[in-house]
Amino acid sequence: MINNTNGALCLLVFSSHQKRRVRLIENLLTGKKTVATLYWAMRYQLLDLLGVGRYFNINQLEINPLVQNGLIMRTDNDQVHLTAAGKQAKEELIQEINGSDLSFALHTFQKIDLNNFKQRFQLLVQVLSERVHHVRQYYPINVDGTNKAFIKKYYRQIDRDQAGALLKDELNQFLSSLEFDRANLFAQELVGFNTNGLTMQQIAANLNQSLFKTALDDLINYAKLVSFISHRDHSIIAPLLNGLSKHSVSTSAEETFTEYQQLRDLKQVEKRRKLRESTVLEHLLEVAIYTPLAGFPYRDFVSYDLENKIIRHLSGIPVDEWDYRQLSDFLSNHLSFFQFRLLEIKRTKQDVK
Amino acid sequence: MNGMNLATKILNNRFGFDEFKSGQSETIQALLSGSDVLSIMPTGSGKSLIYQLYGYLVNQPVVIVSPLISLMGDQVDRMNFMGEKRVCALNSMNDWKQRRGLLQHLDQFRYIFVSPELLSSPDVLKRMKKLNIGLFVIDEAHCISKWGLDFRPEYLDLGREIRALGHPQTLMLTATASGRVQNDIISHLQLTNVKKIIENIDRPNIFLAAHQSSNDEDKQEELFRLINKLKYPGIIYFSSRDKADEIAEKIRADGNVKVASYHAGLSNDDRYRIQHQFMDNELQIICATSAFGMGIDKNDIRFVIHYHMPTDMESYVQEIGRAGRDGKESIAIMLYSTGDEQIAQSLIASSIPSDQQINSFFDDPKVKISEQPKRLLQFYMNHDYSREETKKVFAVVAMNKDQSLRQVISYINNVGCRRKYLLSLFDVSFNDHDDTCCDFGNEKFDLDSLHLLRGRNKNTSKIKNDWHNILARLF
Ligand SMILES: [Zn+2]
Repeated sequence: MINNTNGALCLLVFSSHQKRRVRLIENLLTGKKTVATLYWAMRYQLLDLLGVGRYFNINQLEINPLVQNGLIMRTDNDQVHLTAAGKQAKEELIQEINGSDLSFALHTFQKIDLNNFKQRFQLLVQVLSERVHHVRQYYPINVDGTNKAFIKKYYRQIDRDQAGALLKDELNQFLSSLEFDRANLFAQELVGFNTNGLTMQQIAANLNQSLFKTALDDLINYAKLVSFISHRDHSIIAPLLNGLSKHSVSTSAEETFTEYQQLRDLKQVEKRRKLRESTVLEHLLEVAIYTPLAGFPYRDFVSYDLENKIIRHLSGIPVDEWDYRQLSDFLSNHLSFFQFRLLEIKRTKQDVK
Repeated sequence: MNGMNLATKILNNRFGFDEFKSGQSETIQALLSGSDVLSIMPTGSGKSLIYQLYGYLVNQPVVIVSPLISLMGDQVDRMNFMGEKRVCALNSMNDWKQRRGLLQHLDQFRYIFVSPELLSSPDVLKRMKKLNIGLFVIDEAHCISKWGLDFRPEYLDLGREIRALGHPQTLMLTATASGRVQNDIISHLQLTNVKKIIENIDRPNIFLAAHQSSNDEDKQEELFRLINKLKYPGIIYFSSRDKADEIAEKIRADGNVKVASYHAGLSNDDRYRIQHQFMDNELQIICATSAFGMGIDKNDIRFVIHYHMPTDMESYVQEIGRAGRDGKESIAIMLYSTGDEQIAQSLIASSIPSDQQINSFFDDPKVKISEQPKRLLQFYMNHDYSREETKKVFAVVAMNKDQSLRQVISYINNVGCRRKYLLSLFDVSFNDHDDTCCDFGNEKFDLDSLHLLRGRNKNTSKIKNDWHNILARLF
């Protein structure tokens, strides 16, 4: 029913039981790592989608067509949720795309920069393929300058006479491990000797499936390739992963947290890290979002008493609707926004348990 | 050895050609005499070879100002492919790190493509000054002219920039320019000693035709009638991406022919694959938007069909010029259905700031208006134009564009030889109409006698696409 990529992505990111903010999800998809984005992504259980929009070339969600089709309902102030029909469409979609492979792929996507890995890999395939056939003059595929430089350097380091055969052998083994259609998808995109490659759209048409599913299958393939080469000795592809690891928590937030664990004093951390207070607090929130409940010292910042007061005050209100501005004056005088957000994170983690 | 002999030798050794195409040698000769040159040569006549070769000849860096970023990238790719690696492109696609790297090592490049916007930035100009520029090339020079229809304000600064660079020898290149536009170019740049090389823009091997329908449905029917008969490969031009996608999908669903759409909405990956599939005849038809140049030369294109009319005849001549570069029979067909001019009119309107937009921009430059008009207005504000002066400028631009669109409509409605009318717009006279010229007096032109009728479908050998075959082919 929904066969365009943008629409399918909308179904995937919205929910029938939770109103979600369009702008926040767009920020999430484009990979804007602010604490607000991360916090709400955690509330929506969508943290693994951070930056995925770039993979699909999508940075804006087209909600209107789905509203017109009765799949999405708008509520006030930029929030939307799926209708019953939308919920059903979403379930069908997830069935079509095989949910468990997808969550594996998205998880890998958060750990490895798959966009750049794919660029490097496809350029390596082209360069070695032309080399095997002794072709010196050809148009290299369009990849970023840094990836081009990376492959140039790598090409100089390897045994060029052997590399083509090694790559072929490795790909043979990898593709044998995939389902037939998925292996074809993977191979059809490749560019090299006498081979122009097909576009994702063309491959989708050949397979008679939606572009969205095809693009997801492609993502899954590359996630599987990463896992395949990580378990091999002497892989010719594995060195392409150099420098492509991603960390959920930014290095600077990590450093702030390490300092805090040693010093246990915010003022000293600010001094040592030469950071403003607000930055230090943002770093701590980022760490809290990505850390299991027991791994973060919530009690250092919100006492048992204070927490109880707040919980009592907000009892009956779902965490999604907690609003710092609506605390009574007395409470907000005793509770900073940082503490409030920390409590929200803690409650979220407790609820998920 | 005199300059021309040396040039021919470079042509043989570096480019593998025995002789120059017409226009190339004349232009190089004019450059060798030391003057600035305005060269008007049809698309596909090898303009880029001129400055590339001249760069080798004078052994000094060549700077090429080029308005289309996508074409710039293709040009760099092509020169790399031909074995020239000392090529770079400075444009808005560079991130700051790349740009810093390029600027620091600018003296290591022999061919520097630059967008007009970047050339006007002080740090770029400063670096350029340090180069001993052998030739300063302005590609698509008609953009300088207010009459020129791709009017780009940054081009108006080029005269100033040429002087800032110490007036290096300058070559202005364009595919189509009427006398009025030629004069405009030269006077804007304030050049005095300019030689003009004007190649005939007529392409006698392209048959010209137009077809009018009363509605979009009939127009589509005519399109399908044509592409079911015409020899491949061909290009169909659209003014919107959506329509290009839609028709490509319809043609594909028909199943007889391999087709893809091609426009600025494509990712780099897709662009590469589609260009090369088309080059290698794995695709027979491309549905393209006219705003998007096709970077790679293909000389056996048999037809160019316009599903939507272009906004001016200069674009039309450029776009149909992609057909028949091999000199063999080809055809250019303009399809029209009632009301199509409104699509063109709204395209034009959206490219020109309205009085209302001008007012609100001058009230508050931070006001939210769309990108294209904003860029234009910013330019005039930076150049100290008043609100009223700016309005006057755009009133004139609007009038010119309207006039240009009327020429397109006249071409469609033309009674008489189409070629005669078309060439007259470029101050060229033509009186040799016959049955291979155009559809005048020949409305039901016979594709067979024009040698444009496709033979029985050759069974295009199906490429095996399962992964075992692909791996075997690659390695
Ligand atoms: Zn005629």
